[in-house]
Amino acid sequence: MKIILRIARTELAVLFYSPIAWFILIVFTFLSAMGYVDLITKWTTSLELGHYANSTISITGSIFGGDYGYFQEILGDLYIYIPLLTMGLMSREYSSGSIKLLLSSPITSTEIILGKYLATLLYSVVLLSIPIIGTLISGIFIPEYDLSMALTGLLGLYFLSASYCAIGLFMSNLTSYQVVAAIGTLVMLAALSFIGNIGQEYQLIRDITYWLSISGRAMQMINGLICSEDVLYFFIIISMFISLAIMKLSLGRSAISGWRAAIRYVVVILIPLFLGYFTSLPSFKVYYDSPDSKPNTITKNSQEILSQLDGEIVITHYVNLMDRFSVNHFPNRVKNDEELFSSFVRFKPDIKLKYVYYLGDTGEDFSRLKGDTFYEKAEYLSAIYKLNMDIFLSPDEIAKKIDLRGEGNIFVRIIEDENGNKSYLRDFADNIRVPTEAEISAAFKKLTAVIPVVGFISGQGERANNKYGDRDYSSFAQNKYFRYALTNQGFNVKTINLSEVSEIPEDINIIVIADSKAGYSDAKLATIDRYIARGGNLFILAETFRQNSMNPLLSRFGLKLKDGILAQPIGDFAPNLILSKATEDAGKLTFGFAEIFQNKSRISMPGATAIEILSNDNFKNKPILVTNKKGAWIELETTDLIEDVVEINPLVGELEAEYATATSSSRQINGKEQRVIVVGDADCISNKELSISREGYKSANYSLITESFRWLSDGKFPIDVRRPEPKDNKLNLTADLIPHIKILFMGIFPSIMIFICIFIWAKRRKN
Amino acid sequence: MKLILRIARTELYTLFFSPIAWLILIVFACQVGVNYLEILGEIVRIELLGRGIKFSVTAGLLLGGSGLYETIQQSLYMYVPLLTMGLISRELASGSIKLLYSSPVTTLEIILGKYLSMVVYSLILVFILFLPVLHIMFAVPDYDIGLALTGLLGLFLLTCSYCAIGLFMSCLTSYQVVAAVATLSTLAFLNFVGSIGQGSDFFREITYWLSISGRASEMVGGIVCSDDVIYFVSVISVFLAFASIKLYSEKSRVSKLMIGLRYLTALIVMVSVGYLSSRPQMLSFYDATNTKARTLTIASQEIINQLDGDLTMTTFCNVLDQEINLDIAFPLNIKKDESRFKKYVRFKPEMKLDYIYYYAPPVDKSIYNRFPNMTDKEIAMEVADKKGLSFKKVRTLDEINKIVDLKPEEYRFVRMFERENGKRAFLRIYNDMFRHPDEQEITTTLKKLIVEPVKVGFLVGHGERDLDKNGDRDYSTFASSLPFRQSMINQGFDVITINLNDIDNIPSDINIMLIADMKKALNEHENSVLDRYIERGDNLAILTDVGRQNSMNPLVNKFGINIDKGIIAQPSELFAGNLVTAVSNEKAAANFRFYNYLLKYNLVVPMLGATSLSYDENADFKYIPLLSSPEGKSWIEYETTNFIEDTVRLNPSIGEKYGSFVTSVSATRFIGEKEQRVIVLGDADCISNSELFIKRNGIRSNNFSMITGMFRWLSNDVFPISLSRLPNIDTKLKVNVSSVRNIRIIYIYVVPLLFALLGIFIWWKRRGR
Repeated sequence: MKIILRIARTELAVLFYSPIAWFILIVFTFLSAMGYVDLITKWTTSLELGHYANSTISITGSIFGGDYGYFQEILGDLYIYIPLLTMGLMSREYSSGSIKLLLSSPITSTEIILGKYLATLLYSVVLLSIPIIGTLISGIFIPEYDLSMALTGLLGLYFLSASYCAIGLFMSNLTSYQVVAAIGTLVMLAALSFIGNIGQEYQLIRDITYWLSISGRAMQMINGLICSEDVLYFFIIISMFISLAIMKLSLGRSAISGWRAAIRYVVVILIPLFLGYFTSLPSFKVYYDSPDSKPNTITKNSQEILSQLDGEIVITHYVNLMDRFSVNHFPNRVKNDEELFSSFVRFKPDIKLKYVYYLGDTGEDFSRLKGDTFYEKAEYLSAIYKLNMDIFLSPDEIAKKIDLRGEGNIFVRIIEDENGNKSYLRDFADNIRVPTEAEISAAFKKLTAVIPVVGFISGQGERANNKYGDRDYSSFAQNKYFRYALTNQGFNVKTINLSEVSEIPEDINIIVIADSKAGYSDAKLATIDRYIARGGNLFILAETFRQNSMNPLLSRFGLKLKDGILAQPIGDFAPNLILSKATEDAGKLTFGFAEIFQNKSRISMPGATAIEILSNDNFKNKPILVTNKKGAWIELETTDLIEDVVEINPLVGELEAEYATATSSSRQINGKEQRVIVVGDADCISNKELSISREGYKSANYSLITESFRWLSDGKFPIDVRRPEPKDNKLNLTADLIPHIKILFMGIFPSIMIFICIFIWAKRRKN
Repeated sequence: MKLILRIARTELYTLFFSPIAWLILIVFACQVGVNYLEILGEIVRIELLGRGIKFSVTAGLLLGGSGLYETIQQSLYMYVPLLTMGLISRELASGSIKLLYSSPVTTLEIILGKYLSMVVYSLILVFILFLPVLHIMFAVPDYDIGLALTGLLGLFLLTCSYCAIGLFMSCLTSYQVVAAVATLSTLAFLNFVGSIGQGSDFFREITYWLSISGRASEMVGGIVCSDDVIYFVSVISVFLAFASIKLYSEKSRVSKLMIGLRYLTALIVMVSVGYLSSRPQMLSFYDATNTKARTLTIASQEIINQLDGDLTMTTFCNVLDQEINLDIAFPLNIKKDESRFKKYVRFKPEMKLDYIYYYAPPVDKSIYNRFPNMTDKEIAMEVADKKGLSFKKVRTLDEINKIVDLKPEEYRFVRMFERENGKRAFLRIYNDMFRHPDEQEITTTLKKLIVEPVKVGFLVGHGERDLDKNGDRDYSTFASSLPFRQSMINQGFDVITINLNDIDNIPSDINIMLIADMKKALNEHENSVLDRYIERGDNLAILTDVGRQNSMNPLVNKFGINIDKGIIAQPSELFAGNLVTAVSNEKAAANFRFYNYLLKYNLVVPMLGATSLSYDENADFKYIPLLSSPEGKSWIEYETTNFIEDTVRLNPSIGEKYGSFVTSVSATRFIGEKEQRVIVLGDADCISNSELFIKRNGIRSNNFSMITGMFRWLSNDVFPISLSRLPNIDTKLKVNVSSVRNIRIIYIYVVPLLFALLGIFIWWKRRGR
């Protein structure tokens, strides 16, 4: 041990007596100081200009973490400077011949290598002095500074530079040409970054090469998450290269046959691979999410859902060669899928991913592909993607396994637990494509929870839950490729034709009655009455001219549609476009309604009726959406608000007032709360209205849907994945302080380095 | 000269007898191979999947984010310092420099000799880069050789500049690593220098010119510009001069002052040459690409040629605007902003770019949430201060009003072009992904400076659709929206409202009248005013709608067209019974580009509530039916008027029968020499704000292009301008999966291996001696 320390000391002395180490230090210090000052300046300006005033970002995380943060920037520089530093470590000894002195001394190879490595480790600390200082003093300007997160990132940075040093040391040991050692190190680093792409098609190779990849290895730590796998990776890689270096050196000494030497090398390379493989198995992993707000961890709600699942969970990916959405799930992309679920696997290690590859017709026109038959075209495609045709099940074979016609043979994951419960998880037709925590958790929750089933009443001219028409509801109800559709957010959707059933099925907890043209016969009303009596929830959407057909139903709750059509001319819009706002009472229903209320968002209703609360005896009724107090009235004379002149006429009883356009009703029954929402317009959540955007107001039509269903399902779905707000969301810096920081970091710190350098140089010269 | 060659040869020997030069070649060849195969694989996949390539394959392989030249350009800076670090410092460390000093060789000869060896080495690197180009020549028919070769030239010049810098750094120290790190830092500095002093009008030009970042990009992209070439040449010369001054100062005893003066002279000469050569008047360029893709289109050039005299583009930046807009024109980003107009300045060097900052109430009020309880002036001061703009430069609205009234622009970000003769036109930014104006919009604005404005009058006073309002039924989106790129005002038109009651004659500079959905008929006076307009042969677009037979038939009858009774019904399972999916026909396709496009790609024009139009073949107009309801699916419904509340049924007893009914027709006639053009549509909703961007499942439409096509025809092709470029010809790739495999073996394995073998052979041969 003493010898190791002595070698390290000698090495450091050599380093610091030559200008090389100093030059690198000074340049690096200046570069890293500049990066720090730039980021601090950028954030100070941003915050001073009033951005992020109400938002909930962690300043610590924004400055240090992430792809554009400080630590990531430093990483890029380390990559170039460390090889220049380590290139001379051993090759200097080879080219000057001093290696022979070392080898003939009683010092062992291990001691030489460890000593030199220790020197580089110490040097790395000095090299990283600005990041270290930055990490430590940022707490002065960031209130509630997240020191643990910054330290975690710093640790990651240090581990990575330690690994670079080990690789550089090994490379320097291979040649007497320093430049060759430097290039060798750069090439090795490039190879270690690139290796993660190799052999991704094959299970075992994929696991090994992906584990070996150094690219992005420090990223989790930079973002504040310490994972045992990453830490062990750095230790294993360092040990491997150090052992290789020791072996190379000692082989030079003793006369071991080439054969035995080769075996030794193989063993030294194989052991780490084994270790790596095992430490990356989900059940061996340990995590620590250092930031206070736990941004790298799934929310408590999601954790809760996972803890309800017992036994093994299998997520089967059904990948169709002929489907263009499946490309992202071909064998070479499996690791991406594993990444997607990794934050869930962390809490439930026995989640297994399985793949079924098959051929199925998606209805796409494939005339552009070579080949005459479907099978020939498939073969042609598999050749382009370099996939083995044998892994794909033919349409007949897959049909025996599972019926995917309902999915149109488009990519889908089916999650299944040991009891055979199943739920579907899809990719979506938006920019993100893959499901996020909300959708994944919803799919998991579907396995255990009693799923709210939404029944859409049909048969009396209601809006259809499965049609794409302008007035229909397919978008939010069951468009499979729309992320926020009910069916992807945890609900099941059914259509109920009251002419065909005399009883609303037991499993239905929410029924939607939207714009019934014909109204309900006594028998059908009785069916609905029995549903109401059993305590089921309802979402009722009325429309203009539906007073006769829908008032009998609404009377059950003490509500009534007022005669006439609401008018509220605002800006350029037609007088019958009612821009409703949320009431404070609405804010008490769910957090999302509270946001609509606070943000003063509007819900656009083209053609609405006012709802009148007749009594609160049975149900407690409250208005949740209302018109403006001023400039809104019920038009009694005109029915066509576009063609005719629309003016308020008090003579016929048209009164300016705040009218309710939506109400909530609730009562206690059978030991639970029964909930009903009534909206005076059925168009506001229709396919057409959801796709229109107008200038001049913030629209919250979509929130009306999510939040209504959240309340109607007693908060079960959609899953609430909000996170606690980070506390470090301020920066106590003003622009006039920036020059001081600039001088300190970019002036004083590099000057100190230069000063010490000159001092040592002068002192040595004196000696 | 001979001495120079001899020094170069010796240096090359030293290089190639050591493994360093070989290792760099091998690694470089590997990188080139891997990068090329990666992009090749991607493009081969696109080709094989049969989706059809429209871009230039040569450019695809070499340029773009992952193209070969781009990636190599990003990584060259890593190779060169390792190569040059030993050049002189090796001699300094071993002391052999003294031998050189005592020989009759001059320092300049030493430097030039050493540099020449680096140039030769750079040529070898370029040769390696040429190997993929060789493959392109075989695999891509009609490949773009100009693009490929100028790119190589650019990368060569870049490498040579790096080498010159590395050579100088190697003179400074006897430690090779220090030379390498110093070279890296200098390169980093030259990369970064472009952002220094950008706040000051004087330094900005110089530091920006000094910046090496992206310097080779223009050449790599296929266009050789004089300023780039001069830049590289001056960088190379100045660093070589520095190097020889350095060596000279070591060799002979010259006072420090003299040495300093020499350095300074070299620097000043270089900077002034560079600065002068980058003045717009001095620029010349050559676009080497097949399609002249890096230059303005011929159409734009012709318009610029007609712009004689001075031209100023003044950018007005409201300090209270969104920050993202300030960042376009604030002093720090002015050079970047200027480069957006580079293509134009090349053809119009005297074009001046000015920036004016002011404060006025912005459209986006969010700034008031961020700075509550402050006056506009206080906020402007605060913002200017934080964003590094001197408040002295920020003008008040009063001062701006003296220059131009920006109220119609809602005090948004806007640029004003002004000619010497005082003609002005506005250029805006847009709220789409690209934000900045493209050649289409810039040239449109310039064209407005040379042609008579095309004014479109929107008739008002009878409940027509409004050109300014945002209502669902109104027309603000396509007509007057400032931030919408394709709106008429951004495509060259002026739009104004016309109330016929107020005037006796429609102003003569109005050549197009748009009359949309009149609820009331024209009165006698209005009728006579409009009649005079029609008689003078100007053009009209008339959009009727359901229930407008009484109010609009008197108008369209003037053109021999009649709005039929009833509403076209086209029941479908999904959509309302009055949603007509109008289709085009052969005759319209033969005469109009848009209708040809509809027919070719099976697109429809959805019309929600349309009337049928009939026309009198005997009138003096020539008619072309443009759109009609689909045959066999539609009829004219006489009974039902409310298609949502009531159900539609075909009732043959009152004459309802299936057919195809015309919903849009064009009418033309000659009045003297002049062709009068009229378009009538049976529906006014299809171009309204709410209908323009609705996506309906199963209905493929592009109503927006219909508007563009309509107004191009009505303005006799003056606006919107069409800038056509030569189509790319190198859009094929003659490879298949297995040939890619062979190429992979050759480029990734065989080529680097050959270099390795050659290196070993030379090493072995030398050892043999």
